[in-house]
Amino acid sequence: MLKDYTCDEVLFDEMLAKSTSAVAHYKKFVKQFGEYDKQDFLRLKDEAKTQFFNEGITFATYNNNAEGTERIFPFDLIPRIIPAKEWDTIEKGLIQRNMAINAFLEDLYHDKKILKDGVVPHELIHTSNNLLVQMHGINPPGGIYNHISGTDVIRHSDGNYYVLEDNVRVPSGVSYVLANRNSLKKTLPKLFRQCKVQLVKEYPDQLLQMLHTVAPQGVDEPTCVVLTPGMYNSAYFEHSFLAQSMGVELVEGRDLFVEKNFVYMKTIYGPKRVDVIYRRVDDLFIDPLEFRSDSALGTAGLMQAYRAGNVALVNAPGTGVADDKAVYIYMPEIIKYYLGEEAILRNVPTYRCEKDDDFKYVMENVHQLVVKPVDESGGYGISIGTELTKAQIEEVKQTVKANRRKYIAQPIMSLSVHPTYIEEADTFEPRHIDLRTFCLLGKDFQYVLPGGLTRVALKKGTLIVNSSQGGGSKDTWILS
Amino acid sequence: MLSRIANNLFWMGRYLERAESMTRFTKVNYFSALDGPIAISRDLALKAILRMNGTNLTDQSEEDTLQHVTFARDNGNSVISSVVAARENGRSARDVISAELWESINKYYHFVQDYKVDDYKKTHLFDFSQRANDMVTVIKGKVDSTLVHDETWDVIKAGLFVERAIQILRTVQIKYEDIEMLAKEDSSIAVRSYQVATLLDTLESFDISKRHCTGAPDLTSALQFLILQPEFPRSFLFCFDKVRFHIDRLSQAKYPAKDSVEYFIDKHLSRMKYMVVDEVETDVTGTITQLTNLMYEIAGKIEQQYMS
Repeated sequence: MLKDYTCDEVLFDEMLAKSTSAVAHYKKFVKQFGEYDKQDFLRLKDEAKTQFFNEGITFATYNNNAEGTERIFPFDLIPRIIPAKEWDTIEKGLIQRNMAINAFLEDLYHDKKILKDGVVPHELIHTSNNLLVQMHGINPPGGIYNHISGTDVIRHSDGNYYVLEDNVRVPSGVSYVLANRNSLKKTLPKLFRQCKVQLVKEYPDQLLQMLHTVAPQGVDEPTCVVLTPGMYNSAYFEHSFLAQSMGVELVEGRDLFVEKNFVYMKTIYGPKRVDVIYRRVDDLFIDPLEFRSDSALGTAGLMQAYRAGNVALVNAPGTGVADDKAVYIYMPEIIKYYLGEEAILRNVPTYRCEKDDDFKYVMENVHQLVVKPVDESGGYGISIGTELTKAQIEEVKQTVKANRRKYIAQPIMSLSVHPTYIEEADTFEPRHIDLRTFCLLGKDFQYVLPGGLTRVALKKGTLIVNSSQGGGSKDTWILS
Repeated sequence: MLSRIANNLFWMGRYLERAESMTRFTKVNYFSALDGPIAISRDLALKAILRMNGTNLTDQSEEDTLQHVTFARDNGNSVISSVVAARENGRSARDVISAELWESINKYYHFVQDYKVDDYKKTHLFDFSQRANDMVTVIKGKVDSTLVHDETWDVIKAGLFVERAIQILRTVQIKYEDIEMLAKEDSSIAVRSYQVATLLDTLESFDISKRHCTGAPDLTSALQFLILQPEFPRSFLFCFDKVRFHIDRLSQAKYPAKDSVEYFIDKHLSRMKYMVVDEVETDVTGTITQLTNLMYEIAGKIEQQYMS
């Protein structure tokens, strides 16, 4: 079915890699896939869709209806394949990068050596909205801050992998990786027999194991929970999926209370102590006594219990200071400073609008740059120079000028493309993809999910892959 | 188990039963009005449907009535509102119920949600009701066959049986009112017996009751069967005993305290077991009101003790 598939030469296609036939690690797949005809494919596609719908693997958008409109995260049946050797490098690079981020966070909330040594500018950290004074001097159980990191990796038209951004607050998406794999296995079982693909299903076990390593001192059998903002949160499916697959309770802030610096949950048989909280609630909402007092999502006294070392929060509050897109620029130096190593994964060249030279360059080149706010997620606030009108370019300039600290700019990276089934055209076309990876750090514990969430920009030509903005996803195969 | 989740599952059970009951009541009473004795007018059936739905509306057209009790989202007692609530409660507890159970609830929700209201009102009432309630049966099957029979199961079942007990009483009360009212206009045995048959039908008891009570169904045997029969799943006493069973399992106390819900249930259930149909017949409305209030009180106590 893919034999007529072609791709523009200026783009880097994962399957063709600038040649006309599939590269080695796609060959088996293409051959096997060729045995299905279009009719089969369309039927399988519909079956997969029904399955997602019935199982409620959806995300909700709330406009004018309290039940929410449920949407299936569009799932493309053609998997993205990465050979073992390439993946090895990515995996090492991710662990390196996230270990360095952990060391960086510990330093920022203790001695701030890296600032004193002038490696990262003082003002960059102190002007960050995500630096939490409440975290100063706290020693989190196990010494871990960014237990779960969702680093976004892309491949540029030069064929190299780059880190596009770090996500060390509450990265999401892992449930779709598992759901996609499940669905693809049911839909295209033969393909799996042919291609040896590394497993992703152990993720929940690894996650639970990691949570156990960071239990407070003296707790042998920790009670772990997942804390959700509730079922109206767009990622609720994931929260319940993770709790269910780890076999732990899914709690809301109102299920918890703090007494004498210990955290308890309210059960049908009375209070039960909680030791590790994988929280999917943002920093500012976890404890109304220390952060936003109007938050109904958190639990009063949680931070005090954390400070006393009686509960582990995963990820630690205040990690957002490290995934600030302006801090990103310094990642190679940060890695070198703490680990004494060169960064394994490349950084995309980035201009900090706060710096005068960079600012000047950005002002003159908005039309060929991506301008991003440093502290937002979900693809919001991003403008891509080549897609803007003259008036819009002026607008971007004004916005940046008004708050230079808030913006960075990068050359437009041409994300690699991948054959993707496009419904409207009823054919396979190249679409831009990225990769959200998942890396776990615990006390003496490291794990990278083999694969990750390949997100695909379904709209022709666009580079924005976020689900909230019309993106879809693919299963990601790491060959063994 | 979290108290909040227990509460949500308890209500999931209640809403499922409520949706099923309203669907069946509407179907049976609507169709009973098509070929009954003359006095049993369509108007009477529509009014009964509205009363069962607990609404104050009167003088609604047929289509408006059907729409209101089944698909009106602004009516908290409509079938669709109960289905939405059942599903929302289930969704909040997805991590503790089985994937199979969740999927069956989700399918049921999508079925009701996507059903064309016009089809329902005009031609497909039977099809909708039958298929919707078959789906509820599947859900209940999943509750029994895919959950570990632990506190999750007990809480859902307790909710189902509390609500079913209440719905049985409501159904009996409303059909009893119809019987009384018709008796004033036409006291013929045919009319009376037709209404009793409808009552039994509404609780899916007509055929099976014949195996227990011979002869044309009369009010006495129907009351005996629907309220006091200890072994029939659609009798009040049966449901009451099931509530006791599930709450006793939930309880960890060997000897329940005097202020506990277990104690309260046992005390009243013991009395109930020795009730005879004559007592019910002496004051049907009074007895039903009393039993309904008792069930509400039990539900309140369950929530207070385990779910808050």
